[in-house]
Amino acid sequence: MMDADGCGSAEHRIARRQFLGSLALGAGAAASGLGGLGWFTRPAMARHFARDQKRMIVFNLQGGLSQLESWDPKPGTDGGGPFRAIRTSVPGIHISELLPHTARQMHHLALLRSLNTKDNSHNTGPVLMATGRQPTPAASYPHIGAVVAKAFDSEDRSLPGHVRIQSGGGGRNLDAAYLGPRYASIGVTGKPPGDANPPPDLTDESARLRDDFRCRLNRRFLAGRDTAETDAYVQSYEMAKELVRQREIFDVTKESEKDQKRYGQHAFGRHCLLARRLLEAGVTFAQITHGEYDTHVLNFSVLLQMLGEFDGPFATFVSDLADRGMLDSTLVVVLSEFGRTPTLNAVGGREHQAGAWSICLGGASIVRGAVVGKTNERGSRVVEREADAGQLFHTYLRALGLRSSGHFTVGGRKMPMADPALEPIQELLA
Amino acid sequence: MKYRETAFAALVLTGWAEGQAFSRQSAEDPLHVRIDKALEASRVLPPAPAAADGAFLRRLFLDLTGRIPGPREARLFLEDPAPDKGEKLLDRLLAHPEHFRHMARVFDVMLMERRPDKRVRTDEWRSALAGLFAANRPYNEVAHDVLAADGVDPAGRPQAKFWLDRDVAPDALTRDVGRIFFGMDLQCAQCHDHPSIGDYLQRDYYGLYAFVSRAFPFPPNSQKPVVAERAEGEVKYSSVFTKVAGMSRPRVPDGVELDEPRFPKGEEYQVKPNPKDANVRPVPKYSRRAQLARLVDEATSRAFRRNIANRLWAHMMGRGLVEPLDFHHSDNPPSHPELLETLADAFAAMKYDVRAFLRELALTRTYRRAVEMPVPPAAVAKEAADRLPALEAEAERLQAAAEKSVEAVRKATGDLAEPRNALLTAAEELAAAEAPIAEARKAADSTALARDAARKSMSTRQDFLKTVREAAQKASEAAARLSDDKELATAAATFRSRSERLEGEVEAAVKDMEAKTAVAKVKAEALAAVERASDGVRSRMSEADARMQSGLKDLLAAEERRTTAKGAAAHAARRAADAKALADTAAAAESLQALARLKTELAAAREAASRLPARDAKVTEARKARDVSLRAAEAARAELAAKEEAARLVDEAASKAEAVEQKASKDAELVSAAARVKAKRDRLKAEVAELRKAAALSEEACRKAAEALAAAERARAEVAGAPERVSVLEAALKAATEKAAADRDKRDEAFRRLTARAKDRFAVAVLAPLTPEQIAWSMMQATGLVDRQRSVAEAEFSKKSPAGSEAERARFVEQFVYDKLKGNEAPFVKLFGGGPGQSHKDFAATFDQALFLAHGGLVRGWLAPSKVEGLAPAAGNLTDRLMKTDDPKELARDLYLSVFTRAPSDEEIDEVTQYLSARPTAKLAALQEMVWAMLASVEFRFRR
Repeated sequence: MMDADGCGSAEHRIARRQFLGSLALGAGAAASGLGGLGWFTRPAMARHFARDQKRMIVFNLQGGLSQLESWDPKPGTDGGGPFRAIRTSVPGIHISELLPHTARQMHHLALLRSLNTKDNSHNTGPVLMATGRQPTPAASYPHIGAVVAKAFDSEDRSLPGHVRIQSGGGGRNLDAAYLGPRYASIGVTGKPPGDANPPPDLTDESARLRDDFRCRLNRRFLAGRDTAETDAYVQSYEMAKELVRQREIFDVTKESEKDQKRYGQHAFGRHCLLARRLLEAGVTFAQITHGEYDTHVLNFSVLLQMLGEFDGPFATFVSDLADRGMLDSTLVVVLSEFGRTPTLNAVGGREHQAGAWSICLGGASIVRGAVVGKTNERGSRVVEREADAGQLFHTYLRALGLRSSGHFTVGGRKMPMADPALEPIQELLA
Repeated sequence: MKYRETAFAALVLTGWAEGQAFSRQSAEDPLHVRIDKALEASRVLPPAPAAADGAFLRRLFLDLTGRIPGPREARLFLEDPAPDKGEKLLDRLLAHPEHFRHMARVFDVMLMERRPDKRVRTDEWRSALAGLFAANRPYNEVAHDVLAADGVDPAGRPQAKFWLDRDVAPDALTRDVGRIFFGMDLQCAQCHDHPSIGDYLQRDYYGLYAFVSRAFPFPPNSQKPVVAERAEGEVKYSSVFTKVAGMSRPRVPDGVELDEPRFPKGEEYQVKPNPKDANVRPVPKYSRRAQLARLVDEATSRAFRRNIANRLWAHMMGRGLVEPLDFHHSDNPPSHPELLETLADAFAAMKYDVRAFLRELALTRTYRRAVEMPVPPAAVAKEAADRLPALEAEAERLQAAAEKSVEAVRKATGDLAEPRNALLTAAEELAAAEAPIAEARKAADSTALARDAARKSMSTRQDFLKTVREAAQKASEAAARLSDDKELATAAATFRSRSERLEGEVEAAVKDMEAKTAVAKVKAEALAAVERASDGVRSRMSEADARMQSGLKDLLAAEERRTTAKGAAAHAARRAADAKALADTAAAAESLQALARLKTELAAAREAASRLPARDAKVTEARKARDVSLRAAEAARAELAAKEEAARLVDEAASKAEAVEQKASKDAELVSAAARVKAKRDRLKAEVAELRKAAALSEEACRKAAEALAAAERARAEVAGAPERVSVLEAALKAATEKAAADRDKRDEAFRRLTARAKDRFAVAVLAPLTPEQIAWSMMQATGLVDRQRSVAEAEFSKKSPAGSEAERARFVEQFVYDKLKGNEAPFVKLFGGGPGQSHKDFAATFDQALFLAHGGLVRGWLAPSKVEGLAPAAGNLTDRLMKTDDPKELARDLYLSVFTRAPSDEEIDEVTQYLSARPTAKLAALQEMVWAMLASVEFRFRR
């Protein structure tokens, strides 16, 4: 690390804290989460504290996962499909036989079978699930990842708090809305993000010399002039340097051969292993996207293949987290944008159904082995404990120890963390 | 400009500031003078001095052209001795095509907030805006054009971006019209009155909503839609919390509802919508959209004027009088309420001439202030402490007044409930009353139609009957004359019989017609009755509406008074807090002052201690001298005593001798002996007198020596304690140094707080972050990219139009450079900009920005030396130029001027010299490192 003044010393923590914006949290448990791992820039310390840091991972099964072939099977009913329901590690809970490995981890997980999100669209459905609010042209809301990253941010955080693991490219996404780019997700692929790699023609010495010079310039300029903003700017270079130093945490090939084999050689397996690596290193929020689950055609054979790919690595991930003692601090959510109809169409597909579907979640303060809500016999309608995306959003925050009715202060304005008209689903919370 | 009689008058009267300058605003003063006076009159904190020329130049370029000045431009300005060079430069920049382009960019970001393009490309839209600024269109007209545009005319389509890229969605438009044109983010008042902002009410939201709710994109599902509007659709709302309902015609947040024309049913449109043809674009006779555009054009709303005055102020000063810019409400009053009114009024008086307004802002002393807060002198801090009680009392008094004004608003709001409910009831009744009208009209219409048909059928038959009758009559007459003509007789009979039959038919038709007429009459009367009923309800409704609008007017006036009173109270509270902060700084500086005192004392003690040996020596010497003089005096006294004894004996001898002489006066021998004795006596007497004198002198010398000794001893005593004092003071200094160090954080914090306050008061300039576009263009300017393209453009223009005017040249060069380099903006906007639809002022510092500069190819590429061959004079970039500069001092000067727009200090020149000399074989690398460091520095990232 560089010398202090003009180069991001700890001197003006207070100013930086003000800059990051106050976070109105409840007393007790919630406040203890604020420390965040970012306080500790030394990896050894980070590992030591990693266990208590709150984290979240979302598996987004893109396109609209059929609840009937996953979390809410209805074998033997009209449109229930050919697959059986199998026993899980929790007596009394049955899920589709397409998820045998996941079934063995059910004691770490919970199911919500009574979602009615009322939005059938591929455009707005995913946004609703990610933000907990119905998108309108007038307002955009931050993604759950941005909210969680901000809630657990700290002034000296050196790693991005919000990461999307995606096959495409890297770069910063536009999903933080008014929380600002600091909390927008960074896309990663299993390699260090583009500019984290020093260009070949930049020698270490050159990089060091110019950085020293920069620090000297800043030191001279900032004497008597520093503000929260200049401080944040100076700090961003320290974060960048730290990220460059730690860039191997984005390199999934640094994991052991054995683990790489356990997670499988396909993209999804690698992504799960990378997610484990990132969460361990101190990233607050990661999202993995898997799919295409939009099974308008040949629902059964597509799901046989897609869930076949999903099941193993996901189950391995959950059990690894549990083994490493990280599950109690890590919220795991498997969601989609809506469910599918029991009625089959002419080409063996299922249509969109937002009125009755399921998600799976676990870890953190989620009740292990809980099943909340019920659909009717065919799974076309919710008959018990109807819930929506906004309530889920509250539930995520509460499961992480945050007071979901709290707010952020952004640019002088109070912005509620979640839809203030709603509340968490208490039955899912321990 | 009229002087606003507000509560601030009192504040102005108590004003004190630099030079105690109090003056009522004078209408004769130009705006920039009035601005400075207004700020100075209420200022508590000491203001920063004027910024250096370089900083001013850089600021002006960034604000008016969006980039830093080039080294040539900087040198010209800095070396110009003319006292009015600032004003000249200002006028030159305001008339420059780069300024029009920059304003287009600024207004694009303000109006569209970096939304991704949907229907109108940003390029076209910005060109259209740049055209408006080149023509110096007044702001109200620009606002009018943006809000009135429908995109139908292809030439004016870009201006419809505001509507089209928001998909003509009413909620999006309501929110953004409220925020961007009226400075109020009413979003949270959509479903209920704003939960935390007392001023933002659901009725305000729906008042604006009513302007835009009838608009829709047309044709539906088109890839290239335009804006169309319906003639119907009333706005009703109810709170999801309180269930209190309301309805609203269009109104701006600080205005009453518009009076609207009523058209008879079916006559509302110029072009009627065709239910069967979706490709007919309806055009209403009365357009609510057009009303919104008209209202902004007329600029009757104070909120509208305050909003733009505040936004333009923020553009130049780095922060608004109201922050956030779209959060005007009475709990977030302007930092200087009276000044905001002055600006709003003055901008209106200038006919919304943006260029002239920016010019006035740039001419203020406020604009020119340095970013550094001077350390306030102790006297100023003390004065602040003394004034604090008076300021606090004033703040309390105004706070009490503000609370009364809040109460008045509460009452006026309560008064509104009755007419609002009456209006809602009447509206419901009207709906109920109007419900049967359609049915009745249908019945009346259909029975009238039946009646008309019957009448027509009747008269057709009557005509026919008449004709047949005439035929029968004529045929009968003919048959009578030609009685043997059988055919004729038959025909006549046929006619007759037919006419008889027809008579029956006509009779039936008449009856039918009469029956239908009667029915139609009944139905028409029924219609008239329900219409009358609805007219009655409508007149009750308009009566309720009149009460509602008048109540609203009262309420708005009360709200305006509340805004003023709360603003005044907040302003006074802030002045008291300023004084407190100033006094606190002094308190925090106390340990520092104690330290300084100790240091002075210690220095004195040390100096005293250093004098001690010399003074010791002096005492010894004086003592010696005194001893000598004592001894001398003693000797003199002894000699005198001996002589006196001798004299006394001789005197006695002489007395006896005189007696002898008298008795034996003839005895010559005895007489002679007596005479000798007497002579001796006389000699001795003289000698005693001499010796007495000498003894007195030596006594005197003795006294003096004693005095000298005492003085020397006193002088010594003065410094005798010094060594101990030195050690005592040294210990105290150590303690005081520790305390001062411990207090440093407290002091820094107090000073930082003071600086922050000074920024909010515009007593110092704001160190504002550059916008993404400013970063991009300034980096291109600093590295020489812009100047290189400019050289190419100049050469091309000279070749192309050797006789072209300067204005044409400027336009050509600007367009050329812009086209060549505009592609470089995007990566900066993506990394440094806030998200789309977010307020552009959001500043974020992220590690990927740092990595982009540190490792990314774009900026590093600009640091490679390059030049355009064949162009004179210098068409090389910065590194190329510096590579060719051998003198490190000259190099340092060029470097600092190009990147920081200022001359380097001696320390900085030395630093550059050392940097270069440490790397004698790698000059290029050294140069690139230094330039990179400067681009990545805080000084570059922020506008100072």
